[in-house]
Amino acid sequence: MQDNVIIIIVVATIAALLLLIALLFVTSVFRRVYNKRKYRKLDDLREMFNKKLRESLASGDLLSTQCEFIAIPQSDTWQAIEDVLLSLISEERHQHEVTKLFSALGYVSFHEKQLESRNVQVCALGLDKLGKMKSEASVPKLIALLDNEDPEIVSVAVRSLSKIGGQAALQAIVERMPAMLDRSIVTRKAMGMALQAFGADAIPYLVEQKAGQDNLWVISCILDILSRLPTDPRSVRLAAEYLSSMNAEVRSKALKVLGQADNARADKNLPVLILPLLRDPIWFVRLQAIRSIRALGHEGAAEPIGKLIGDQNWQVRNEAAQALIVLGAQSLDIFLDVLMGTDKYAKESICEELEKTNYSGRLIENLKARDQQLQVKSRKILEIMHSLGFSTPHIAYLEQEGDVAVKGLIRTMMKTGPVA
Amino acid sequence: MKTILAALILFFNYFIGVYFGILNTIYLVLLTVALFVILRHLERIKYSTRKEFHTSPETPPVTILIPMHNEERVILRSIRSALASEYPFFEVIVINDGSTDGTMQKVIDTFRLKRIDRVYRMFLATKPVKGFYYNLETPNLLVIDKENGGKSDALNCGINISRSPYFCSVDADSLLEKDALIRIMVPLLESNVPVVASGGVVRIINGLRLSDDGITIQEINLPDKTLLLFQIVEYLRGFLFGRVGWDSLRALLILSGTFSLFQKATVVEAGGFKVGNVSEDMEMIVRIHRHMLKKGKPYRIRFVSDPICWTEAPDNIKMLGRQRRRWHLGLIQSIFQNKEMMFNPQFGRIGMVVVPYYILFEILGPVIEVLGYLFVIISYAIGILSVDFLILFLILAIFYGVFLSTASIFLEELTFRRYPKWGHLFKLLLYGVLENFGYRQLNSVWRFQALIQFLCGIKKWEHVHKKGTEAHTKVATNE
Repeated sequence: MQDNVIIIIVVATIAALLLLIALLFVTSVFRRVYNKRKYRKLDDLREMFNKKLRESLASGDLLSTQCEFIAIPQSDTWQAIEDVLLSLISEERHQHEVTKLFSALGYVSFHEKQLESRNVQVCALGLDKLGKMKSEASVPKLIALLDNEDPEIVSVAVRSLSKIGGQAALQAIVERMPAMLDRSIVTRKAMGMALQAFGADAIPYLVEQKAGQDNLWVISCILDILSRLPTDPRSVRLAAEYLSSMNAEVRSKALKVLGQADNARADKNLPVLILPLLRDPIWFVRLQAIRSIRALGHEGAAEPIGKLIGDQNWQVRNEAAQALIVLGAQSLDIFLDVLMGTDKYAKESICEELEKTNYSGRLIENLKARDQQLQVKSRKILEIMHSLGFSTPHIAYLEQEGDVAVKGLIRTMMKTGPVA
Repeated sequence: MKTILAALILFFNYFIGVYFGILNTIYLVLLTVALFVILRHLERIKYSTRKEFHTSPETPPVTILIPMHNEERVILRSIRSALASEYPFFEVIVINDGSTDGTMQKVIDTFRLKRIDRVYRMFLATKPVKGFYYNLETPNLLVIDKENGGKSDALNCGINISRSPYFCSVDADSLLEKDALIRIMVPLLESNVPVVASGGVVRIINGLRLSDDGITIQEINLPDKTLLLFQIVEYLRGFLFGRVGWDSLRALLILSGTFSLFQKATVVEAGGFKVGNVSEDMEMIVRIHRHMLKKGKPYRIRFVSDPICWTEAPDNIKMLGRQRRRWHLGLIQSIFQNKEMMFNPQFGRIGMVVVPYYILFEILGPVIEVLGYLFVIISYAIGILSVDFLILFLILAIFYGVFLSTASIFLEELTFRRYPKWGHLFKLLLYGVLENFGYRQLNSVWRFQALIQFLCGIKKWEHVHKKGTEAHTKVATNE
């Protein structure tokens, strides 16, 4: 009796498995056949409507011929027309007409309806499509979704609003900035990217949003976004105001705004404002100060940056070494000072950068320079580099065709051994 | 005496029945979960932010680490494909782990590298570095030449020199798809919880036709060799439902070392890759779990099903056996080196569910399977198992195996469809059936051998020789 029960269970399981295998097999085959037909049809339809729509656009009577493009929602024709229109909207000359057509053909209302769905993915897909269609009429509905609980919906809404553009969208995002920053990393990132997409238009709103704002986290984010937008005097003023903030993150972001290279042309005094922050107690502020001064370029920067070669933080040391390399000849004395010192870490950082950027090649060339001082300093640096094990440029020069006198000098310095 | 023996055998038979019943139920759960997760993932891709991350300042720099040891036939493809990645900020660090063939020279000559002096700071202890090679024309490529110390040692060396917050380990015989890096990064960028490691899909390169540049896939074909076809079905099963399923249950314990992304700080904090382990990737993941759970910090380890890295699979039994023994030995080592997690509530679901699962079903599975075959024969010999039962259970086991393989191929059909021809579909389905007759059993024997190796204290890294796929490239060009 018991055996029979077991046999029945096993046989039933085998039968079920067999059925499932057959079902999966048939579904796979059916799906392939179905998709093949569907996509072939879609390709044909896309090709046809691409031609037709382009002709209508060229003739200028797109809106009068729109009845040709009406299709049943979600049918293959509907999808093909949508695909073609979405590719046409990326061409700026057609943008206005195509946007109107999307609305006239019912795409906008269809996707707006999707926004009401409880399914996050359906809603997000609708949001995404409305953004791609640049549907200005849908902006209020998209704005309403900025307050949604789901970070995925908020992120897609922000992104779509940035694609549509316009003051209302921009203002709505900026107004909700503090809430979005608090909500999740995902919405914060989406917001940052979206505001960047608005370009210079976002600047006045961001600067205004700062007014009455005592949340330093929000200020820091505003400054961060401003640093990625085109340079603007309003941004510079705001950043300068926060250089002395109590919050290191804010100071660092303010430096980032000021360090935009274009600012150098507009305001010659900016590096002077930044220089004191090279002595900031927080390492990433010092790091950003070096970067900003390097981007702006400043004649008197070599000496204070040189002091950071011995910084306790390796990122700051490396950044300082790189900045000094960019500053070139005016840094030679600083290099020499540090290389003659006792800080091995700092010495190695400089040697590494000198070699990596091929500055060592310039130093070797300097060995035949008429300027006696330049020659001596370069030789000294090369000697120290050799003593620290950074001899590859020396050896490489000896192995290639080059100036005999220079080769002699290199051989001598390599024979004499460590100097430092 | 005979009665006691018969009772014992009967008990063991029931035990096997229950054991495989539980195991197959777990597989069914994973399969079902994977189906829903993959479908959801595919829907999300439609409105994904992937393209926007290309230009976003939020996208962090990544270092691609490629350890190499005697890989002269395949290394250039791997480096070139890594350099061709479409990603905003990345560097490629190739670590020559004491190759004794022409690998190093080939890389130096091809990329016209020059020796450069670099400061090498050992955050993680490694074998001595002999030199660094660099070319200003390819500023994001650095080659390190070091003494042989194994893959883990080479990876640690790369970590020491890398300056990015994330690194991606890629095998020297692999071909990374151009968008693989950004795709593997997206879940990390979209996550509210720090993602400390994530893995992508590894597929078999054998059979692929590459174009003249050697890194662009011209045509995807299935290889001719039976052994490779079995492995393709196996990889589909392993990646498309195994890892997707475990990932969605937040219980991922394996990421393939062929293509995985790690947060550098976490790996360094956890002590880097363990030298001496034959499967450094898995041990690292288990240790990261242990480290993060001990610290009580929120974290995620993710598997992403759309970034793809193609890799070479062994095409003969000897090499495949070596590879599988090594993998299983690595699994056993990783679990036992972190055994404090076993049934330890401090380690949450990893300690209470995942580690016990791996011990009971993955490590002991082959033992039970092999013993099961023996006991079935004994049961039949002493007359306590009827032929009907024997045949029925055999059919059940085979059908279940076929079902899992068919379901994996169905998942592939449903999602990525990398094997587009009708012939591919039927061939894969056929091999999904055939693998149950011999190949699966052979795998169990290799895994059983690995367990014996572990018990005997054998820890050797069984090297799998790579043939390279230059032939495929030539065919493509000639045609």
